[in-house]
Amino acid sequence: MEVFTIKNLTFKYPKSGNCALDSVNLTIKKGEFLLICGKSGCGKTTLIRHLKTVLSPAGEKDGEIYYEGTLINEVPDRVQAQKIGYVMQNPESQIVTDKVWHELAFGLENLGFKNSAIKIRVAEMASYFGIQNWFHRETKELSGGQKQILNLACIMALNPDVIILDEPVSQLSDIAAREFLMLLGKIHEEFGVTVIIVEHRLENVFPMCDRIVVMDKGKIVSLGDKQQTIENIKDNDFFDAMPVPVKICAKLGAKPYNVPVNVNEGRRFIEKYVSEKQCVKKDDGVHCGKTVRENIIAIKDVWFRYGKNGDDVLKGLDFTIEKGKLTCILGGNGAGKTTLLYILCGILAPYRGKIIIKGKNIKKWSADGLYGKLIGMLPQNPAALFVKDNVYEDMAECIADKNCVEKKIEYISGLLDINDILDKHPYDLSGGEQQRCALAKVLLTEPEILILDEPTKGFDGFHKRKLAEILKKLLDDGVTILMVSHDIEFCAEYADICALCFDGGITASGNAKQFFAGNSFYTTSANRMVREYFPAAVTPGEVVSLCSIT
Amino acid sequence: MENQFERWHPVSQLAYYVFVFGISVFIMHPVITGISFISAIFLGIVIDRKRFLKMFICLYIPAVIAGIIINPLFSHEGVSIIWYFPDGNPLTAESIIYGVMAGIMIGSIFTFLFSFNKVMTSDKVMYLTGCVLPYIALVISMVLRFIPEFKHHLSEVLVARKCIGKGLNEKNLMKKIRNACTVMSIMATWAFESSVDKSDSMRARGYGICRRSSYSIFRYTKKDIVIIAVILAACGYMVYAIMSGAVYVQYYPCFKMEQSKIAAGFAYFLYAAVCILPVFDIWMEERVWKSLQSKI
Amino acid sequence: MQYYIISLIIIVLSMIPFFLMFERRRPQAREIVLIAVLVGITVLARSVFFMIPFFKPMLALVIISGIGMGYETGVLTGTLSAFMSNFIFGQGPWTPWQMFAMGMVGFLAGIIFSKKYTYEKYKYVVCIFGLIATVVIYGVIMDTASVLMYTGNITVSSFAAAYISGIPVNIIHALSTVLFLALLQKSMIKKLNRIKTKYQI
Repeated sequence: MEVFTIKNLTFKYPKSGNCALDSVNLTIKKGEFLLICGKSGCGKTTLIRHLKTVLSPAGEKDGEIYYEGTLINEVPDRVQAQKIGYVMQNPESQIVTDKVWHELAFGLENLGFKNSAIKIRVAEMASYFGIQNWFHRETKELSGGQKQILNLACIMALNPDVIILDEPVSQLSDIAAREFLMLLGKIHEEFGVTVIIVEHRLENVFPMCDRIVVMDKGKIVSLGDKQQTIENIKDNDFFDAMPVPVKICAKLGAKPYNVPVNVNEGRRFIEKYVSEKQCVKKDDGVHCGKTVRENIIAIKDVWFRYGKNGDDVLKGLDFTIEKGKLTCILGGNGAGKTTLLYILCGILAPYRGKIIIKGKNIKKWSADGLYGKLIGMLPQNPAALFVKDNVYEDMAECIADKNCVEKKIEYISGLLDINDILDKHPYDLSGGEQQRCALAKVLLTEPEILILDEPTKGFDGFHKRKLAEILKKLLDDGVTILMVSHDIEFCAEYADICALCFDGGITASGNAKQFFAGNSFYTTSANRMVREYFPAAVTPGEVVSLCSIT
Repeated sequence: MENQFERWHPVSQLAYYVFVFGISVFIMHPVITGISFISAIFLGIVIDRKRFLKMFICLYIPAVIAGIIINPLFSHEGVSIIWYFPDGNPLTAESIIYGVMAGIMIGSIFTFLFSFNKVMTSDKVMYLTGCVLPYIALVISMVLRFIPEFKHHLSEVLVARKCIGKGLNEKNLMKKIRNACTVMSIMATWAFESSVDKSDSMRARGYGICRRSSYSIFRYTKKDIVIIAVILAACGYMVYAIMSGAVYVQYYPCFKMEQSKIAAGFAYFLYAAVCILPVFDIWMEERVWKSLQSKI
Repeated sequence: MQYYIISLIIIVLSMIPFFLMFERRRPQAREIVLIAVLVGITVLARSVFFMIPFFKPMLALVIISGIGMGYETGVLTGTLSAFMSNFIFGQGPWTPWQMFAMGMVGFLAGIIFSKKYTYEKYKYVVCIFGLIATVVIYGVIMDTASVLMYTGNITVSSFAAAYISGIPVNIIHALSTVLFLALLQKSMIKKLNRIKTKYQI
């Protein structure tokens, strides 16, 4: 039985030349777990928004969508509201009310349910989702992961047949994302709800789903189960977004329709591969050339807490940052990473210990000397930097010397590839564009040290690579870069130095390759797959090249 | 930890405050006003002793004293003349009495307000509004959600701007205000933009399909019913007593109070009993816990 | 004190029709969200400028919402901003009066300007309106309220004394309103228009 049938759907946004959707045909079966993926801007969000009338974007639409055999426009609003649930990307902006219990009841209130009926349903939902402990809390106190679970629970309270999720975990940390997806899987299994999920972080979702739709430029380029999809898009550049085991094994020539999709299967594959091909075991691969080290920042025995009676967030942290290198600080939520950044920027002051930047204590730097020339920080939410109505004006605000505004903007926009969007409103840009514009603003202040807070959050592989290219260019210009991240794979690929922040201190640090090779749990999936044979290999590329040496 | 009074149903709490505010404003009677003042002080102390005493000494007492002093200066009515001001106006005993009573009455209202602001939290106000105006209540709930969200984003913006050398620490006041306005205006942009998602999320969950119902987690208990009944009865009797002149006071031209002892005495008793009800409830709860603990 | 109760009943009754109108109409999601956002911004602005006494941006923002969104939104933003901000600064007998006064200002701004407003033509007019509204409407209402609240004697002289002693405070408040209107008017109205087109209002 089909839940949705999409026939020849073509859609064009107003004032836009290209079709956002180009004759899409798709049937979605009842009870299936369907993953829709594709590069940013491929039309996947536009497609799923069409599945609910109130969310359908305005524009020229052609073709039909049927929900359980009825044209979607003819399905009553009430049925749509109850039976088709929709979870959006940003956990924060979907929450409407101030209390958790009120948020849970919100949808039921809208449908005019009686108090007694709402009471039962809310109690059920809170118990099933394990919300009862924070039932009376205010929504502002919840973590990002909890917020998204609450959003899912709110949708489930209406008892839907289909849940549509638009990149629900892209804003969450890895652990919160896994927890959310596990819950989603549980709901799918236990209630037989049809799940349609759009996601580009495939690592966790890919193994869970029944069928996968891959889209490109508004068209469906592949449709099928996991193995079929792997086979279909082997030569597409979107293949890069596949989970690491898939990428490695496919490159090493795994049999079509039998490619490992998780680390465990991958390990078995490698085991067999190595013994068959008699690869050279290499366990001494970690070399690092001793170079002259020049420290630009030294953090010495820093202690910090929020408020006199708070707990210590940083506990005697010692760390040095080398000049001209890309240093990454990794760690889970609440490990004190962002606090550390704020201390480095002089926004928070430690109650003990000192920070020395270029040989001078941070307290002795004047605000004018510190910000703008020495340190620039790109905040986690790049939108926080925009204050004007278009990108150009916004960038001009950062240039002190009014005579060379145009020249400087031209140079920076060339570097960051934002020439085409200078006249747009900053809030009309996509996440990646926003980040590049914000980065441009920071760079216009010409900092020697660039600090990035979670720069890869919510980005797909293509944008990550683009960011990496930009960072590379900056490093070549002699800028020192410090970034804080959850993203192990990105750090392994591009960082020079990595450090693990845990419980208010730096527990391990070193050359990026050495660092990941030395860890056994907190390391890349490529490394986990092959660590018995090639302990030094941390990126898929390295694994493939090492395996090829026979 | 919520105390017993804070756990009352919002309707009972509202009834209590309407009653005490109403009566204390309605009649400025030495005994009634005195009862209000004393029970308001007790309630303040029981609810948050430290902050209450601070507020009481710094704010409420001066307000009372101001009331006491100001009236005789402006009002020269009354027959019992004590003294003449240099400008020839008389200082009368009645105006002093009136001033004292007015001061105490304002003092008791402020003192009740202290506990009112602690007890009637925004979610209870939202619930009460929701009983009559569900859509306004929804707006209130959303505002309560937005304010912390805006604050969080505001601090993000301030940090982000400080780190590119555009902090708010300008010396020039005009520039400072201008900077603050830039930040304000961008806050508005951000808030408007994020509101699009909010309204999508609302519509996706069926907002606007039919008339909303209003859910609440507050439950009436037997105690609430008793409390509301007692307050209503007391209210009825007090209004009757005041209207019929059983409780009566006159300040000008000469000070007079009611004569009938029993009806007035009963009114005093009833009013005092209702005023002290929350304090009594909190105190009873403590006793119960103590006795439970001592049994273990 | 009876005067206080009677006047309180009158002002509450005068606000109720606006609320009922809003309820009856079953407002759409975007209207509700926009009002909540405007109230949120106004309340936040009050707490941001809390340090400078009598220097309040609230009225300016209420006037702007009235101009940008019409009188109904003006009234609701005004009354609810006063109400909600007092959860931070303390509720009291002044709350209904503040709600009434700010609602009135929002209402008038909406009635007078919302249909024909253009920045070029009306920027100074709006500033002057802000000045007059702050002193004459907000100032007078609040001074009247304080006479009714704190002194029992309702005489011409006690009102006159209250209005005269209120002048300096009202002037500072009015100047701040004008300043904020001058600084924020253009950009805020532009933003409101942008969001209106986004919502297709």
